Amino acid sequence: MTAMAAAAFLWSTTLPPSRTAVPGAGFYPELVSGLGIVLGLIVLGRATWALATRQRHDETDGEPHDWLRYLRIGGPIIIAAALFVFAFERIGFLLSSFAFLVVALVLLGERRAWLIALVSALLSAGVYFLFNSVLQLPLPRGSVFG
Amino acid sequence: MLSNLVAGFAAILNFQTILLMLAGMAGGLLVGALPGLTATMAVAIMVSLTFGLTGTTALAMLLSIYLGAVSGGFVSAILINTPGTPASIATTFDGYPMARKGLAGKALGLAFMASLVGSIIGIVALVLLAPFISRAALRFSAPEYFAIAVFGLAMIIGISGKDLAKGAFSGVVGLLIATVGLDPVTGVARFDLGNVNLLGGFSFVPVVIGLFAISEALYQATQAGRASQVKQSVRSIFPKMSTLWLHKWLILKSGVIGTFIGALPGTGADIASLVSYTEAKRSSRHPELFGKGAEEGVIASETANNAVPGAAMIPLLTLAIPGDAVTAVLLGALRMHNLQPGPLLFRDHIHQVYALYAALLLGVVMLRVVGAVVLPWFARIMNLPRPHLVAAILLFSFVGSYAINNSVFDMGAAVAFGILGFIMLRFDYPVGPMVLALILGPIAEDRMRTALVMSQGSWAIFVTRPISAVFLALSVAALVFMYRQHRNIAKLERDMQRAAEDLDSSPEAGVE
Repeated sequence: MTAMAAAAFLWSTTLPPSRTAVPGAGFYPELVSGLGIVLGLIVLGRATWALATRQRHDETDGEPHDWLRYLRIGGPIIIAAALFVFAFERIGFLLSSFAFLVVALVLLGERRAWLIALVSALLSAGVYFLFNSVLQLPLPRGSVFG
Repeated sequence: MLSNLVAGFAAILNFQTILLMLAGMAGGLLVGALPGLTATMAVAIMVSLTFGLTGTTALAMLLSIYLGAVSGGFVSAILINTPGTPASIATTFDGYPMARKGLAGKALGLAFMASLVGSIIGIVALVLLAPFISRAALRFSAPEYFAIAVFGLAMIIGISGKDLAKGAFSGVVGLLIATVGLDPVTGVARFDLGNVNLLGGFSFVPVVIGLFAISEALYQATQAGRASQVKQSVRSIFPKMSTLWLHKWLILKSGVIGTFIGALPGTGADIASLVSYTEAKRSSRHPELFGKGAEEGVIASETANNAVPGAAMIPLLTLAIPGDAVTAVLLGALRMHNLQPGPLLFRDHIHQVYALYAALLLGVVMLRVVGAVVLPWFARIMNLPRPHLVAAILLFSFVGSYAINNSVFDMGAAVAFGILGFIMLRFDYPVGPMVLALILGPIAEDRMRTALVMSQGSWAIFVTRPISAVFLALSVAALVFMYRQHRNIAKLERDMQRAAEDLDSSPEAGVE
């Protein structure tokens, strides 16, 4: 994130200056990203110091970060979400949301096939009805439903 | 004022609005009761669903969710020692020990009634104070608004959680994200990556849905199967009125503390409840009972945190400065429904303002009715299967982010910000400061540059105009105050954790 702030700072310096006395388009992002670099370095410095003194621990839940678990469960859900976004307007809301829910429920640990099918179907249909009929916000029907 | 209030009630007393408020209230209470689901998440998702409603109805519903979610947080705080929302952290200190002693029903009843009184105190303050502040704010121009925005940004430190540097850094990232798109003054494209969708910047609601709802759902997903389920049952949540009367001064004091803190931009219900709790303990005749099941602890925390929603609307409506993340989302909702908060709102849309007051007041009455019916059931609902809940949140988040502009790009942005929010949560970076910065950043930049045009490039304009100078001085003072407050609260939490560990090692258990 510090590197991102540095990149934003460099990018800001390339923005054209204003013709008037007012700071140009790059001034404010330069100011903010400069502050970001300073704060990022403080956080980085403290983390490095804590690592060096072997005092670092997860303050959120008192357990070490279980990155393997995050990747194993969170990774496939993110991929499923990306596929859902990709398919949303192509195959329509009903099919894409049903497929997404089935995958998500399986990934989240639900094993009863009938319940997965029932929850996915009810949720998809319920949300579709809510948006299309109650809120008058039409969701894409996709090529399958014309 | 009275005739405006009557007109306000007339605007919301229709079948559709009342039905949506009831649904919003029940949904808010449920979200508040479920650990991990926050008021901000609920309001962010629901903003997109209100797109087809009138502004008054939509905001009445969103305010009901807000009231319900802040109020419902005490249920899980008392029953399973896990605050449903951060606002109820201090309620766990004594609520859970009461439940362990078999007094869960009493603790819930006290919390419920305290939350109602707290809500009323906050709303009364809003109705009485907002007109004066908005009238004074009519004389403000660019330098003053810049100084107020800086004041709001300085308050980010108050919602930074355990690590101030990380909170500030999160705020800076929010400020940078807010600069994406065409520069409002010169029209130069900034950080657009050559993508036309980014020329208008990121849409606020999809970003907020990603940061609060999707990130939290991802977190809950990775915790699937880990959370222990504690079975609880509660028959009634009606406390004796004599018990409440006994604590009348504590309730009043806590309500005033909650109102004062809630009205400060950048604070929030969690800080209000912790400060109120600390004060209740300091002034108690039996401070040694705090942390071991003291009724005063529950009352102080819940009165103060529920005074915040009404009070937080004061800077939001009068100065367009959100008090915390959830009011930042509400600000987005107001703009979406063509209501621009600020002093002009009170001049040009006074009926809508009073309709909001009416919605808040009616919401408190509904809270009493809906809460009495549904809260005992929520003890059971908390045992719902998490996979179904997480999947539903994800689906609503995706569709909600799409529905704002019918844009798949927005949906993709929500997923991307969900991943960013998840990573931030895992590394203890609070997302609240980022959302606050997203709202205040554009105001600060725009007003700063307008002021510099006024002064022909002289920065002295910010310190030579008295109101601007006062707010800039207040920003510095607030930074110092918040820093000291942060240290005090951290100390209190350490003490309470020690007390809770002592309690856990004791053999007492059971709830009514």
